[in-house]
Amino acid sequence: MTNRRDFLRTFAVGAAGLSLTGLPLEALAKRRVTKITILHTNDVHSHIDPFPANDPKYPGLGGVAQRAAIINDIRNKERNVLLLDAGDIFQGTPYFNLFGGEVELKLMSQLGYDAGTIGNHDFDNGVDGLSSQLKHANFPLIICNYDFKGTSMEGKTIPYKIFEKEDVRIGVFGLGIELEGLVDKKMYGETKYLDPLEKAAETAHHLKFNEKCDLIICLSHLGYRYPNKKVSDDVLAKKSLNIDLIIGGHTHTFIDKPFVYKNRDNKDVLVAQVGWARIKLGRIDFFVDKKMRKLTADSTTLKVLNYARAI
Amino acid sequence: MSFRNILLAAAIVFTSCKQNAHLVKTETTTYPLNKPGFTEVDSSILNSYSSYKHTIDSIMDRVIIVSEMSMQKKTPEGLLGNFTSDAALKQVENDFHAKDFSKIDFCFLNNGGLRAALPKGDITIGNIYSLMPFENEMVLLTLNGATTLKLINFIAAKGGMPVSGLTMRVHESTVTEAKIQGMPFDSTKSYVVATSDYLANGGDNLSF
Repeated sequence: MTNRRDFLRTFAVGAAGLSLTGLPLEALAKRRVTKITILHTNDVHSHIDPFPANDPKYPGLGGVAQRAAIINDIRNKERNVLLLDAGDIFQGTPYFNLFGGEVELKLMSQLGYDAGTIGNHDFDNGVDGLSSQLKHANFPLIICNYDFKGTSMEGKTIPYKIFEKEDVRIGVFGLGIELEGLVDKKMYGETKYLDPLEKAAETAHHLKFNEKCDLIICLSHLGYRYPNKKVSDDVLAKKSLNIDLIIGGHTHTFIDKPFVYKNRDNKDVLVAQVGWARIKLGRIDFFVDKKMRKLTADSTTLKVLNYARAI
Repeated sequence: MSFRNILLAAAIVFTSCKQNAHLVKTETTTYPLNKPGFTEVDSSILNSYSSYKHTIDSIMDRVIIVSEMSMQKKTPEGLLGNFTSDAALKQVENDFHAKDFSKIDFCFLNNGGLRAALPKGDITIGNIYSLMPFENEMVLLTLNGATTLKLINFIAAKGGMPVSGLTMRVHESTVTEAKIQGMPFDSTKSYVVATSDYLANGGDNLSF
């Protein structure tokens, strides 16, 4: 119960800055609200050790053991944590060249990743190079717009997964980038790329209305944004329905505070991405109320005080 | 140790009423990992990959050369791109010389293939792996004048790629002058070009 009290305190701090229409603050604090903590990474690219101290750009930053310490700390404080990755697990250090992805997947499993999606570089040892490494992962690879029929990856991915945390149903689905022109054909072989906007619409609709998910998260390796019309998280967010959060990757974009987009229904969609190489870890806390029918309020920005302590 | 400057969070209150559940608000946080001086680690993680690390370090820590300056990639050209394309061209020339291959005119690579900067000081085998982790092979292509021109225009449209043996003058993405091995580009000639198999097979949207 300490956990709950902590949360209520945090929430009261947050709510102080809000202007709420027709809802006294005390009533809000007493409602049954579940906190869901999403931790995310992308484009880790086989970075297991921190960058060397003489690296010109990121001296001493990153490191899987350092990340684990932070994740453990958050897990000790929060009840409902999901740890997700948006692809390009492979390629970037000799760990991949020498061991083919085994170390990356074993360590992600040990860190307790709940799911990941597939990036273009995860094909760098071919479809077979990916499928043969999956025995080292205890978490699913989620992707709904790659059709692996006829390849060694057939049946080894799932289009979406539903996580239940207390009374909240969280639907997670994955999207991959177009492989043609980006990955050598001999590497991705017979993998078929399906329209990510169509598959996203279909999957998110299914999660919302058939699976009754309260929170819908897209793991995307489409990339944040492009100067041309190429499909990206920017395009997806604006054209989407039913998605609450897009955890992005591919463009190695450092987004310090997720962008808030409006979807086709004028509802908020968060777009997040935390650069690459384990330099940063993203965190998003959702507060979900199962009972509330209507709430109107302004958005605000606040400092979260209680995380600054022990991490 | 504590992060002091981490946490700005956004609180967003969602305003709809159709669904049975409601997102009341969200808070977002980004954790920078181990800034210099921050050293909290999970030793069980370190233990579980120590045998792999030992194997890697024994190979990768060997210093192969000392560099007087750090090298990073830039467009239209950068030290790192110049260095790698010069080195690739030189190596391909050495390899093919023995096989009595005709002269290679120029080499081009892609900036996306250069995955890390090179530091000033000791350069280890590990640095080189980080710079070019991909298991690519160099290939030689004989291109006719028209295709070579397409390639030159492609490089200009990209805002520059790492090249060796090719100089270009570009004005607002249009090539106004191109020299290959110091000679003006000649559309009636064919050229022998060295590049990675990734690019030769159409990578980086090189689809012609």
